[in-house]
Amino acid sequence: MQKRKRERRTVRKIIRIGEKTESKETVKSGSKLTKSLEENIKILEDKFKNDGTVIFRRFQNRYLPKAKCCIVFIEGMIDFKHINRQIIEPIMEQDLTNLSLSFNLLEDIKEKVLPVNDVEESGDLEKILQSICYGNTAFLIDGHDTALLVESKGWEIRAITEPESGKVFRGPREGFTEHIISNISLIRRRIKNPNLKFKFLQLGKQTNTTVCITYIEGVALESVLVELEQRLNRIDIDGILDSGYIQELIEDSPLSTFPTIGYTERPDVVVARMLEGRIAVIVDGSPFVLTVPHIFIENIQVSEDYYDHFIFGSFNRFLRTTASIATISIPAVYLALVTYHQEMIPTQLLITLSASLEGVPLPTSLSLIIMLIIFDVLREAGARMPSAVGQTVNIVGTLVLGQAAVEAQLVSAPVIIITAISGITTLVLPTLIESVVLLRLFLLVLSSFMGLYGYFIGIILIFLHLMSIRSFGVPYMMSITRFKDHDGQDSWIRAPWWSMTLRPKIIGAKNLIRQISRHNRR
Amino acid sequence: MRRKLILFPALVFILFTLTSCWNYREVNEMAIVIGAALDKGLTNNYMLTVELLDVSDGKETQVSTKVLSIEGETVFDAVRKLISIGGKRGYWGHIRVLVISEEIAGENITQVIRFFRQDAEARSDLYIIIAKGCSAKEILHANKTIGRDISTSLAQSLENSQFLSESPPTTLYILSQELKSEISPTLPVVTLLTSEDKTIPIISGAAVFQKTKLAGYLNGDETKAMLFIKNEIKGGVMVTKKDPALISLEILRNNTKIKTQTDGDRITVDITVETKAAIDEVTCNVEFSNLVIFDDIQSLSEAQLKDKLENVIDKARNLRADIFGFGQKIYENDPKKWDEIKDNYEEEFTNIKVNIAVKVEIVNTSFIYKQFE
Repeated sequence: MQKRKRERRTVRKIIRIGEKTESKETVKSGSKLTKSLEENIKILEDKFKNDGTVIFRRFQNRYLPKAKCCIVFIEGMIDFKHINRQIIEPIMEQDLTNLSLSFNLLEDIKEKVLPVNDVEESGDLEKILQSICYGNTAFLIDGHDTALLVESKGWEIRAITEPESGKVFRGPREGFTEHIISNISLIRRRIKNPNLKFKFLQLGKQTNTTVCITYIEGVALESVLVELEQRLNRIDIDGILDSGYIQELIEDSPLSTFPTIGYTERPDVVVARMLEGRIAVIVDGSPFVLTVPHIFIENIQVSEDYYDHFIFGSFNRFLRTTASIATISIPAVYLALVTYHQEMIPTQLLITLSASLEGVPLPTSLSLIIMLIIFDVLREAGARMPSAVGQTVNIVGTLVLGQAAVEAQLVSAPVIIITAISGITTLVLPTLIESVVLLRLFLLVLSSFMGLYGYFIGIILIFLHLMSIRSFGVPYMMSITRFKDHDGQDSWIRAPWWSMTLRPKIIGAKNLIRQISRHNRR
Repeated sequence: MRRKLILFPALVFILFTLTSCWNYREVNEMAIVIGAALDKGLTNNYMLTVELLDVSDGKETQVSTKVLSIEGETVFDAVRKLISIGGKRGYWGHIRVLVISEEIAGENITQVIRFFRQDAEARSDLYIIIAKGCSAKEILHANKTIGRDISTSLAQSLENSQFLSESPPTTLYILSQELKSEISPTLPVVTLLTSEDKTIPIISGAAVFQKTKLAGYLNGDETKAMLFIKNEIKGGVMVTKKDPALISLEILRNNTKIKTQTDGDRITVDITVETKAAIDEVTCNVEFSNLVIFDDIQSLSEAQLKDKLENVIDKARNLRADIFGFGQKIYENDPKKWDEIKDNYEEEFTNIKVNIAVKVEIVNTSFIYKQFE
């Protein structure tokens, strides 16, 4: 008890110290620039102390030497050519003597000299510092206590390539990159409509990450938008490195392994979801864009379903749903049948099983659990491995674990087969891997204690959980359990486009009509 | 709150572990029984013989069968005593056939089948066979013909008997249903055929029971006639004599209706047999494209089938066993009359007037009717 009290006390102390340092910073942030250029440079140099990437470039106008200027920028965040041609060159070369007669030289430079699209005048030191950090250039001139913040962003970005996740045979091959502006343009290019809205905010006290909420006005639900903004504003973390941070911070049921916020690397998927009434969150530095609300069936929907013929798309979706059930059930059901319900196995199969289990030292339940864990280890190793070493994993996995284990009779052949089937079916649903791997073991343990009875208890528990969770007010299992009206059009099957005249319920409730077909006109 | 949070999963976990662990058993720890035979014991009440699957472990696992016998005071006693021979506990969930000796069947068949109905493991779709002319044990010791083990081939031959219709495949479930109702059960018969110093089990014919006691046997042909009356014909061959030719008719469909009429003391049973058949084989040229000859074949086969039916009814009457379920029909149509005659039904059965109407319709012929001169 005493130990715990002591811990609490230290935590309180740390918080108090944190508050103090914070309050000091807020006092400083209000400070302003002075009229002297040298003093201003000193202030900025002081602020950027121990940062070698900040460059201070002093220069003068050819015709007006008394107009001493300085630009401040950060190397690596700016476009050199742009700064040379659009900022330094005009100010150095143009005759500023006429301008110097005017009352406000800085205003004139902004309006008459700098051929740059985005220039802002500011005297707030904090704002200037932040602007420099974003890749803008601060232009200072002697005799003025304000600075011009000139747009000069430019850094190396990854080219738009086909995303590694969610590859398609037919469909667009563009994928999001880490650059938020290019990601926004990928969305904008698909929805050429003034109703497409982008709301920006900064999250992360240290990283100042740009986050963008995007939606189609008149299609997206306002209540979801308000709730999303509230949740985002509540975030008080120091840094955001990937959209995964935000996903975890604003999720409805954070303890559930099922994702209640969707993520994708594909712009076409984001746009399709936005057209159904969803809202997307783009995070700078992450190629994964979040979409809300996210319901269970989205894990089974694949963009290609909508591009292929609807019958083939429905068939593929059927395969995926069966695979999702099979992957968590197969090991558990096999174990239950072999160790509890031998009556349910056909005689011939039982004989075969009995023959292959003869002489295997481990009990079936243990060998299944071990093999499944080994499979997951292989999967994990394969995912992190450089592709050159990946071959080794393959060989070790197939030869050593598969063949050798059976030949040495450490595990029985059916166990290997079951593991393989279960493993392959896991990969059919990439977004559900996190849930599947854990639920499979959960069901396996249950059925090793209680046979099929335990398996069904587990399935009931999983379904109760799935039925109980919501994503931004939308029931997670929506359109899986109900087939009224147009509920089932895009769940177990993918209805043809000419029949999907309405948007999904609840999510698309704001503007339900997707297309006016003959059916609707009547 | 925290204590509750810890306690709840702990309690749930304990609950789970306490429920049904007793049922856990690995497949390779049990001896799978696929067939059993019951005889009268020499020193004890019963002798149980089982056919077990024997999985031998090695570079390549091989499955063979072992036949073991043990005596016991009751069937279950013998079942458990098997552990002392085989080591493993027998697993009865996959038993296919149960062969019962004439001796036990002659006393009372229910004394041995009660165990199989009551025990949790044994299945109700287990076939029951009577061994005729040999002990039940010898059937399981006989030489294999096709396949791995005797029991499976016996069970398979019963499953496929619908294309032969010379034995009544009877499962434990049907047998116990028949024993409960007013029908005298019939069970398939297995005999041993010795040829070239090999003994092969052959299933043919039926054992007729007078309620629970074995009364006599029907041969294959008589069994087929019985199945006609019971409306259990699904296929098979009907050979019609048309001198000098023998014509094989394949039974395609059959529908038999039994109606009972009670008029005072007189009980009449009307049997209408409607069979659709196809000509499949003719031993010498018969011009069945000729309608006169075609009709002749039909009426000949009708007459010959009727003869057979009458013959089997006579035989059943001699054995005093109502294997056709006439009593059941009377009970269903006129329960009051049944109550009157119930106690004396065995006598009554021999006096029932039976009218048989047979209609054979040949719906299909082989197109080639003139094969060789």
